[in-house]
Amino acid sequence: MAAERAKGVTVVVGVGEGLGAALARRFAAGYRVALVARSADVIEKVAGEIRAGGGVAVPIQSDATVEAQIVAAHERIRGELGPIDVLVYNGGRRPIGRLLETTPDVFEDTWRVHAFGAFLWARQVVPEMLSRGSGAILITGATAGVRPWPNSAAFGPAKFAVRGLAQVLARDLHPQGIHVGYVNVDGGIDMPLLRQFLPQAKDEDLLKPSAIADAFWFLAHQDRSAWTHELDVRPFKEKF
Amino acid sequence: MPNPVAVVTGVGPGTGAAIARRFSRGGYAVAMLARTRERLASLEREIERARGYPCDVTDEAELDRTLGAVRADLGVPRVLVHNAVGGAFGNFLDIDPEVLNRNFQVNTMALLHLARRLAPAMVDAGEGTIITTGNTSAVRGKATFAGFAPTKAAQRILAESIAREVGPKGVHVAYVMIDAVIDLEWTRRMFSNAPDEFFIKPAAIAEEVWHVAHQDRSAWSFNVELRPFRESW
Repeated sequence: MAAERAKGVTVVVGVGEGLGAALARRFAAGYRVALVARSADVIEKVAGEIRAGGGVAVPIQSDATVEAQIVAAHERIRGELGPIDVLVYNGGRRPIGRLLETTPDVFEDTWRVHAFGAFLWARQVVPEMLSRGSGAILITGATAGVRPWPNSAAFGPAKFAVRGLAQVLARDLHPQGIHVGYVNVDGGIDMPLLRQFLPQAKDEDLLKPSAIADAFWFLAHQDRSAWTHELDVRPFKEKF
Repeated sequence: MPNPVAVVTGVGPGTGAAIARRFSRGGYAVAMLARTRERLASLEREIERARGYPCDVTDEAELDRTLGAVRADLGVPRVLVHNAVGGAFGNFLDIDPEVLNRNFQVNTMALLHLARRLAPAMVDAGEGTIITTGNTSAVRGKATFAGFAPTKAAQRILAESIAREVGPKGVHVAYVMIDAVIDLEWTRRMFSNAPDEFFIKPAAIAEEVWHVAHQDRSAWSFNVELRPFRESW
C-alpha cells in the first residue's frame, strides 16, 4: 500500500510548529507534500527542511475558511505536485472560555477553522479520489469533540461538528474506496506554545507530535479490509 | 538478547493464528493457547518460535500451570493478546441461560485471570501490552446475541478498567473492536454468496494488533475499531 502511493501527494492543511509540521515531515517520507497555512513562516521553514532532506515539499499560504483561497490552493497543488492522495486536515485554534467569556466572533471563527474548513477542503479533493476509487482524508480531533468541558464554549461545539462531519463522510465515502479517519488527540501536544502555558509539564505528560503523526501515517495505509474510522491516542499517563 | 514473549489465546485457524504469525515475524517467541491440541501442533510446525499450550483459559489451575510452563520455556511474557472467544446465537428466550455464563467465563473472566497473572510482571518491568480482540457486541446488544453481547460489553469495560489502572505504570491495554465478518472457512460457507470485499482479513487484523502493541507510549490508543471499507455501520 505504501509503495503504491509512494509517489503520491499529501496535503497537510494547518501547519504550525507542533503537529502540522510533524505530519508534513512524516508524510514526506512517502509523498510529495503540500504544506498549507495562513502564515508563511512555519510552512516555508518546514518545507525547506524537507527539501534539504531530499523530499518534495511546497509551502502554500491559504486560509482554510475561505473557499476561493482553497480552490486556488488546490489548483496550485494539482498543477505543481499532481492529484491528491491524502488530505490531512489539521486546521485549528483552541480558544478557552465559558459561554459569557466567548464572543460570537470567536465562536464562529472557531467553527469555521475546524468544521467548515474541513468541509470545504473535502469538497475539493473528493471528486478526484472518487474517480480513482481511492484516497484518504484524515482529520485531527480532540477530546473536546467527545466530552464537553465548561470552558470550551467555542472549541467544544467546533470539534463536535468536525467529528460529526467525519462520521458522515466515513459512511458516505468508505464504500466508494475513500478512507476517512478521525484521530482523537486526548492530551496536550508537546510544542513550544503549550510548553509556555505549562512550564511544569514533563515530557511524559505530553504527546509527541511525531508519535501522533505515526498514527496518521498508519491510518493512511491500513488494508481496506480493516479500516479504522476513529482512533484515540493519549500519553500513557493520561487520565481518561 | 532473548526474544520477547507474546501469549495469544484462542489460536484457531483464523485471527489467532494470524496474530501468532505476525508476532513471530516481528521477532517474538509466541505462546499459543487453545483447547485443540492437534491444530496447535500443526501451527507449531509452521510458525517459527511459536509453541502450543493446550489449555482451557477458564480454568485457573490450568492457567497457572500453563503460564508457569510458558515462563520456563520462553520467558516472561511482554504481550498478552486475549483472542479466545465463546459465542452463541439466539435471543434471550431461545438460549440456555448457561450459555451466557459459559461465554462470560471465556470472554470476561479469562481476561481477568490472565491479566491478574501477567500484568504484575509487566508493571515491574515498566512495560508490556494487553490487547483484547472484540467486536461490535461490545457496544450493541442485538436481539439474537443475548448469550454473547453482554459478555463482550463486560469484557470491554474490564479492559478499560485495567487500562486505567496499569496504563500510568507503563502497561498498554487496548481493545481492538472488529466490526466485520472474519474471512474463515466456516464464515465463507455461511456467507457463500458474499464477495471477498465483504470479509475482514485475519492478516489485516493481526497487522493492526501488531501496530497497537508497538505504539509510542506518548500516543497510545485504547479503543481501535476495524471494519472493511464496504461495511455499513
